[in-house]
Amino acid sequence: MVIKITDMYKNYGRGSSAVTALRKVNLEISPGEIIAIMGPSGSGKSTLMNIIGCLDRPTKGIYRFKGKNVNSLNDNQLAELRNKHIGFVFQNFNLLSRATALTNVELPMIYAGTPARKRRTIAMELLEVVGLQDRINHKPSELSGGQKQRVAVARALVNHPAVLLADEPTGNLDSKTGAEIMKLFDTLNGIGVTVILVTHDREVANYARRVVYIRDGEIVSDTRTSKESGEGKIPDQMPAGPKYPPSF
Amino acid sequence: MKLFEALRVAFRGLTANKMRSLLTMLGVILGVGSVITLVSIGEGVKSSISKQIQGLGSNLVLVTPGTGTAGTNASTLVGSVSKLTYDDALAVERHSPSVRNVAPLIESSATAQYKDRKTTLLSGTTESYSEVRNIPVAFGDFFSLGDIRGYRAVAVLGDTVRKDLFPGVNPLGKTIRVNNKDFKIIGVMKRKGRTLTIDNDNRVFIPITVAEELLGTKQVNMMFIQSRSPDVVGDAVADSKRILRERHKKTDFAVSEQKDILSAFQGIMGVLTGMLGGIAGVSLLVGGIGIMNIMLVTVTERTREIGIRKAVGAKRRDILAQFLLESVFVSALGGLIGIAAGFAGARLLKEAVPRLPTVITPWSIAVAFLFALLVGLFFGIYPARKAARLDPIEALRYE
Ligand SMILES: Nc1ncnc2c1ncn2[C@@H]1O[C@H](COP(=O)(O)OP(=O)(O)OP(=O)(O)O)[C@@H](O)[C@H]1O
Ligand SMILES: [Mg+2]
Repeated sequence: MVIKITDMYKNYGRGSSAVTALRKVNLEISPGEIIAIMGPSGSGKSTLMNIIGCLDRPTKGIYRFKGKNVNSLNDNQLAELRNKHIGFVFQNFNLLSRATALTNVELPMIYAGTPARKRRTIAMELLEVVGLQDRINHKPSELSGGQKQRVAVARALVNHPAVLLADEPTGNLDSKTGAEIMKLFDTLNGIGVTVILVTHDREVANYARRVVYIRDGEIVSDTRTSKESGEGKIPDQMPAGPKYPPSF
Repeated sequence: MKLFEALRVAFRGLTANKMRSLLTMLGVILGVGSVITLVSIGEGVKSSISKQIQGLGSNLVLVTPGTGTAGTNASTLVGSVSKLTYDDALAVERHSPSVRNVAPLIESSATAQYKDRKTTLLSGTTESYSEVRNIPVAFGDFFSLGDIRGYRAVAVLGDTVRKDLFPGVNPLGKTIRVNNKDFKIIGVMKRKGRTLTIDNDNRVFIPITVAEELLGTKQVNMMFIQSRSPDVVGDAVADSKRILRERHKKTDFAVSEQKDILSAFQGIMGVLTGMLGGIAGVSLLVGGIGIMNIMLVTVTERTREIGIRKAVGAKRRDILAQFLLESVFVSALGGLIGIAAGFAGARLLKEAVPRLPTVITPWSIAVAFLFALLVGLFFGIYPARKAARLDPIEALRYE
C-alpha cells in the first residue's frame, strides 16, 4: 500500500461552529492506481486530498504513507515528504505570481537541493512534455488558465513523485485542454505513478479505474472499474441519501 | 537549500519592491552615516587637541589654582578659589633642584590700540615663558628679567595682533596702548595656530610685574614649570607640591604633568565621543524598527507565496533564511552605503566648518557596520520566524 488511512476524522473549529469535514474514513491505495474522488461540494474532498498530500494533519485516526506513520512526523519531515514523494496540482494552480514558468517549475528542486544546471534541464524537459517550451519565461499573469494548469502539472512532476494529487485538475479548463491534461495523467499512470484526482466531472472520472464517492465527510462508495468498460459507467445523477450506494 | 540559493531568493524578494527596499535602507544609511560622522567629530577634536597637549613637551608641569587635573575643573573656568602668585613661582624655581624655569601667567581680556582697536588677551608673564612654552620670538626680543624688575612698559605681540594692528608695518619700536597704558613693542612671537576656535596668537605679552599693577591683582591664572629633563618631571611635581603646600599651608592648587592632562582630556573626549556615537546609534535602532515594520508587512503580503513554497517542500529554516537574509541584506547594503555617507558627511563638515577637525577611525566604521548588521538580524528574526512558522494549508488559503 502506498496510502493507508484508518478511521480518520478531521474537525475544523471548535464549540458551536465546529465542522466535522471527514468522519471515519478508511482508504487504501496501492501503487500504480489511478483513482477519482467524487462528491458534492463541501463533502470533504479537498480536506482529504490535503491530508493525503501531507499538507494538513488529521484530527483523529492513522495515516500511513508508504508504511510510514505520517502523524508522528514533524513539520520539516512532512515538508521533505511532500518534496520528494508527492506532486500536488492545486485547483487554483498556486503558482508564484512574480516568477516565470521556468522558475515555478524549478521551485521544488530548489528545496530538494538539486544543482542549478540540472534543475534547469529537468524543468525545461517537463515544460516541453506539457507543451510549454515556448512559454518558459512567461509569468503566470501572462499565461492562459490551461497553460498555468500545465505549469502546475510540470511542477508537480519534477521530483519524480510516487503519488500525484490533483484537486479539480480540469475545473478551470475547457473540455479539450482538460482532456489533454487527463491524457498526460494517464500516461504518467502508465509508467507507475499513483494518481489521485478530485473531480466533479464524470468524463474526467472515466479515466480512473477506481472511483471513491464521499458525502458529508464519509466514504459512501468505493468502486473499481476496468478501463475498457469504464466509459459511460458513472451515472449523471448520484443518488440521494447517505446510505444509498451509487449504482453503475 | 544552499546558502547561495537562499541569497538569490532573498535578493529577488528585495528587488521585487525596489522603492520600499530603498526607503527601508535609508534608515540604516542615515544611522550608520551619522554614527561615523559624529564619531569623526569627536575623534578629530581629540586628536587635534591631543597633539597640542603633546606639543607642550614631556618636561612640562602645569600648576593651577583649585584641585583636580589642570583644565578639567570648573575653578579654572570660573576664576581662582586660591591665590597662586609670582612669589610662589619664584619660590619653586629657587628651591627645587629639578626645576629649570617657572613661567607664571596672569591673563585678562584687554583692548589693544595702535590705529585700530583690537580685543586681545593680555598675558603678564616672566622672561622664561618663551623657552618654557617653546614658542620662539619671530623678530625682536622677548622681555628680560630686567624689564620685569624695572616695571618697564614693554610688550611682545602675538602674530594675529601684529597682522591686524600693523599690516605691512614693522611694529618694533612702535607704541601700543593697552588698557590706557602705553607699551613699547620690542618683539613679535612666532605664529602658533589655532586650537579649535581659540586663536593662540591673539595675545599681547607684558612683564608680569606691570600686569599685576595694570590689572590690580597678584593672582596668577596658572604656572608653567619646566623640569631640568623629562626624567626628573616626577621630582619637579613632588617639589612643587611640597613647596607650595608649605607656603599656602593647604593644598589649594593642582599640579599636573603633561601626561596627566593628556589622559584626563582623552578620558573626557572618549566619553563625549561615545555619547555622540550612542545618540547616532539610536537612529540606527530606529532604522532597525523600520526594517522590522516592513518585513512584517512583507510576510503578511507574501503569505500565499510562503504557503506555496512550503507546499512544494520548503522547510522552516528555508523560509526563515529567506526572510532573515532579506532583512540582513537591507541592513548590510544600507550599512555599506551608510559608510560612504559617513565619509561624505565628515568631509562636508570639514569643508563647511574648517576649524572643526574630523577624523574617521576604522573602529567607528567597523562598529557602525557591525551594529547595522546586528540590527538587521535582530529586527529580522521576529518577522522571519513568523513566516517560517506559518501553517502551509492556512497560508495557501490566505486571501
Ligand atoms: N479551514 C476550514 N475551517 C472550517 N471549516 C472548513 C475549513 N475548510 C473546509 N471546511 C469545511 O469542511 C467541509 C469540507 O470542505 P472541503 O473543502 O473538503 O469540501 P470539498 O469537498 O472540497 O468541496 P468543493 O467540491 O466545493 O471543493 C466543508 O463543510 C467546509 O465548510
Ligand atoms: Mg474542494
